[in-house]
Amino acid sequence: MITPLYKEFQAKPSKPEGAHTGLWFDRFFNQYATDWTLDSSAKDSCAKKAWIKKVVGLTGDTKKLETFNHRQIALVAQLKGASQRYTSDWHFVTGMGNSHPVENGFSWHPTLAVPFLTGASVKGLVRAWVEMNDEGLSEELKAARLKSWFGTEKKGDVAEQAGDFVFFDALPDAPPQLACDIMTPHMGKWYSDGDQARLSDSTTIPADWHEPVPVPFLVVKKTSLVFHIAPRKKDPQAELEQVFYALNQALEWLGAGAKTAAGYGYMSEDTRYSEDLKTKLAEQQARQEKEQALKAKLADLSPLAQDYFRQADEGDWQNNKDKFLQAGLIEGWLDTLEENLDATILADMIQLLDLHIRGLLQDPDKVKGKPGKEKPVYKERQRKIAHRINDLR
Amino acid sequence: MTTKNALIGLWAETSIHAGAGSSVDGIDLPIQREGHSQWPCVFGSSVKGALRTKAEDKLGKDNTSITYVFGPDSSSDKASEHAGALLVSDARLLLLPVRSLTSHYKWVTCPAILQRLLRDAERLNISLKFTVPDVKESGIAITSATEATDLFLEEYRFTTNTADLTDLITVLAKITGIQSEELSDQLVIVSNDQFSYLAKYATPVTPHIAIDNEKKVVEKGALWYEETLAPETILYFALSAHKSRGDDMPAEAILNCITQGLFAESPYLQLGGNETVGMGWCKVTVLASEA
Repeated sequence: MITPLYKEFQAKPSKPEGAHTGLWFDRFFNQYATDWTLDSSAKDSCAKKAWIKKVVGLTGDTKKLETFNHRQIALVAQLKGASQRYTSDWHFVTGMGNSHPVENGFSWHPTLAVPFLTGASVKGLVRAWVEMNDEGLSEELKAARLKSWFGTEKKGDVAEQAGDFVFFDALPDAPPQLACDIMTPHMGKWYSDGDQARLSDSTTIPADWHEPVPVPFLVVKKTSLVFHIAPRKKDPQAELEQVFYALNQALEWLGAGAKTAAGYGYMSEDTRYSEDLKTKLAEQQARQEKEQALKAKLADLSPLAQDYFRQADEGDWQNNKDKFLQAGLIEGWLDTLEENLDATILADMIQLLDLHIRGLLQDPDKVKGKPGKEKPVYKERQRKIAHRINDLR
Repeated sequence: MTTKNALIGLWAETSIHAGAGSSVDGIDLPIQREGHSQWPCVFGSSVKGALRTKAEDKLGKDNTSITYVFGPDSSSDKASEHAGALLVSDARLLLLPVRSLTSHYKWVTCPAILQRLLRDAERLNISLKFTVPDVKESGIAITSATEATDLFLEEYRFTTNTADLTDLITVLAKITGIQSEELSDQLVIVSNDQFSYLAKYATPVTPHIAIDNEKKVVEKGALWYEETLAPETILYFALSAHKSRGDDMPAEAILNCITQGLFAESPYLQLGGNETVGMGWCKVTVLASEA
């Protein structure tokens, strides 16, 4: 069996370069005293705080996050969904209920080592907003909306159908900044055992004789998360905007993650992001369509003609006169054609020449000027080219 | 040959939860695993269902070619008329992403998995050429790039051995569509026993709760643990097509219904449960047999 790491790592308790921060945070806690207790004094030496301090700062790999985000956008665009970015107004924390020696855990993405919101959290968040805000909807309409968007009218119902929308995990697209925050609950056991409080028991009563207990926990200081939502079938496309509106409202008024009552987890939409994304996706689509059109056009042609038309497409010869007339280019193709005539290429060259230098092919040696002082209209190179083409015809 | 085959590579874009129902070891909703090896997998019936769903979404439920390819709808009274012409295998694990202290994650596999891939490819008449590296000792990890230090997977430490994995990486790139450079950085081969352990205990298990909106507290009893396969997991499955039973659709046309018809314009497949919370989306790569 292989050796577990704990012992050796107790001596060098800092996170290795490039490590998965979540793995380090979850598995390598090494702040126990010899009797397995935790020093919880309020000072900086406090074991929990010391551990959290080891993971603060940026987490995640810029390039990997970007690539992953691009892949998600491609997937969501294919499903005719949309992606939007939201920036946290202040701190944000998720997964505090996960078990961990410092008591407050954290939600880490398994491969990207960044805090994130699972698709289930996003769905729950949007649902919470729809349930709690009527937006002028009648009870009936609201129930119908809950059923169609999320699959059930009431939480806890057995679903007869799946919801119409797919809520994807929301992830940062750049490394987020982690920090250590401290909460100081004052009322001791009131929070946990308050429902059984008796006047005779002073510990479970909320009163001013309790002492504040500082509890350090890991938070996200600043981050942007990209949310993706797609319709499950093609029809509810029109409602997608309303779902995003609900998400906007939920992030602005309810907050995501934990401790929203203390101001954590509120986010606002980065409106430019979706605009930019739309332009980018449209450009990408145009490129793809062009590429496909070209492929279809080339399918039946000879390999030589395929080469020619690819070159023509790259140089945009149809619209870019200079590129088409650049030194040696036409001559090169003419050399090839004189050895091995290809009608499609020749026809295209004739069409382009006619387009860019009108009249050249009809009368290459045309002259102008007073009788006796005539000068050729076209330059020598142009005339040569025209003669060669006309010979090939 | 009367059958036509293809090997379909799946690259998980999001977490996958192909659920196995109940479990005995503390995870409320475990994932499907192979009985003998305990390696995660997605059962063939789930994969076939996912393919059929995609086809029905695209062509409509009553399309005749769907009936020939997948067989008549089991809820209709025609279910006993003829079988579908397409055989769909389990989606088998190829590369498992495991958290690491060396880089964020590594794609881990083992000799037994790679040998099985070779056998599957041979059966499907697809030629894949690579030598399976030999790792018998536990605690050894084979990589293609030299790691500066020892390699850490979850909380375990491995000594690295370098080997020339070029052939293997070329094959994996062909099956998955992942760039060779990325594979070369991330690929790790460990012993079979070690892999079984990681496959069992390195899958993400996440707690889920339901919140009562009025009180904003967790609903009573609403805490459950759910196991998933992490994004970046690589699986593959085999498709074999016969001549259709219904009319004279040749095997090749049956296979093309899937490889061309379904995946040419949208190379994604949704597998397993939790679709509406974004799970199960895989990028598809098709590798058809030559003959």
